[in-house]
Amino acid sequence: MLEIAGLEAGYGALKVLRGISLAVPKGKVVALLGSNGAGKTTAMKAIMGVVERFAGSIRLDGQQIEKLPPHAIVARGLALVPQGRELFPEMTVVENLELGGLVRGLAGAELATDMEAVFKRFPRLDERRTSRAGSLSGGEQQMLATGRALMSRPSVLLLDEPTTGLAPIIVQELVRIIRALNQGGQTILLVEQNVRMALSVADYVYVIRGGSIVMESEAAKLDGADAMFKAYLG
Amino acid sequence: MTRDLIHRWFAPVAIAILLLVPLTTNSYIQFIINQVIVYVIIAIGLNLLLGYAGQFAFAHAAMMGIGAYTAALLMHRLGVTFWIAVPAGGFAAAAIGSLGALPAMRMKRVYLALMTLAIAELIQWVLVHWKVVTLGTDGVKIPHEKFLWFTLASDYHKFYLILAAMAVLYVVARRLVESKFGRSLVAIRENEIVAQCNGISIAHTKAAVFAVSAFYAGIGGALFALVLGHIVPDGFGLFQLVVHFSIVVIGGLISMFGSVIGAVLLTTLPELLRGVRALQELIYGVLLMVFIIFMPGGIAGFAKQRGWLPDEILVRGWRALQARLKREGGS
Repeated sequence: MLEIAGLEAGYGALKVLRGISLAVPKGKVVALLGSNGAGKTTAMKAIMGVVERFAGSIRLDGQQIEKLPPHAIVARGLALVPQGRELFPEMTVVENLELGGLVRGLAGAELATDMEAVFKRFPRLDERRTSRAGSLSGGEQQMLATGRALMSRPSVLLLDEPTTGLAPIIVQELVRIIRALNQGGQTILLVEQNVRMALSVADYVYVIRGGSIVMESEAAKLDGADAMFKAYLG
Repeated sequence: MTRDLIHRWFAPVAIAILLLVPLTTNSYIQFIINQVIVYVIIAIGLNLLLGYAGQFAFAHAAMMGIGAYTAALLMHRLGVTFWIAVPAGGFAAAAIGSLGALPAMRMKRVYLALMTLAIAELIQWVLVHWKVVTLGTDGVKIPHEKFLWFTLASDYHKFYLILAAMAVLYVVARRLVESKFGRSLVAIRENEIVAQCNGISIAHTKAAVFAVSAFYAGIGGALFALVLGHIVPDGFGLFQLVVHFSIVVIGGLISMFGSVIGAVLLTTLPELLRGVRALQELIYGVLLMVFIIFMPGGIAGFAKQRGWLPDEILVRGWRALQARLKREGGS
């Protein structure tokens, strides 16, 4: 379980997050929705420790992690699939996946077993094992970025706008993948602008605006067309 | 098949030929060959830092100077044997070099380059002006030590010492880049934020690669002192740095073969250009620009594209793993 309380973060003198609090219960999919510039990606980066945190606490499975450097946070069980995928384009699919397993010191049979599990989940990657990551399509790159994060066997998976730039048919496939991951017990924090997609997979939804959480609700109780909801999303 | 055979037998055959080199050379050629091997060591160190880790640090010549002066002064002033003085040169450079990671934590590219260049200039200033210790511009003479059959007066004897050091350091560097450490270096070079999000400690990895790179420069510098027999601060200045950069860029960044090719070419080139000494720096500069623009992968990159050189692997056992995955995937 991931619990965030009063998190303030930003860049130098610029405070982007103004004390957000949210909880991602074990085995659930929680979505953080907001328009451009609302602070969604900063929130993800602040949780991972790559953006300066000014105040607040972050607890992962009961352990305080807000003072830890990013690599230690990954080792504790958080993994981020960054916005724009951010693969290593000159490395092959297999090499990118190996990198994800580095944090746990995966090698030999254990590495191969975990990699096989990723290939089983993403058969399209299986066909392109030795291709350079930069040569993959947008959807395949998203799968690879997700697979790379899964290689660290995270207790909570952070997905930062996974649908950006993807065709509707690929988005549908991504929804299926997120559902399958969640059914397998994976806890997920999803950041999205695509409200329809987010509501179709999330159990609980937070809306962020101007660096503050302005609304929260169970996803099932929300209607994407709700006037108040739409107003908050800008 | 032929290509595989060449790739498999290249290293053993090259070593066998190298071992026989002293039988065919005169003293002058042996002196040049010794320098080539020293530069291979130095270039491997710079390649780890600049090529694999992508750190634009400009203090490599100064680290070479620290290694050279540590070894030379230990031998000259304290009578320490070169068996201890040479590794001491490497460790002294590593200790100071690892401090280079401090600016690298906050600065990138041109800022890091300027900061490390300033550190390098400071080190050279100390070598010139701290005369009580370094003997200033008079330089330090290396005593001709004898150890059983081994004498530092003989270029042939020095050759085997330097060759053994190069072979060990080459293998160690290959192992390093094939390990988790090597993959971490590449990840940091490509994208520091993503590297961190994959569990890589930027601080530890940078400190380690600065130290390792400086260790290679330091050992290279110490052996350089043995080869020359006499060192002066001027030998570790800006021109020396240009030579280092030329070797790794022209030979090929991110390639161990490249370091070897570059060292062979750029150490022998000045000997061929002895008649036009004034043009040396100009030629180095022009060559650097031509390669950066038209052949950024250097000679090794070009040779790999053509299949003349094998792809260098990043992770140990990667080929075996790849083959296994392919087999299992196909079954």
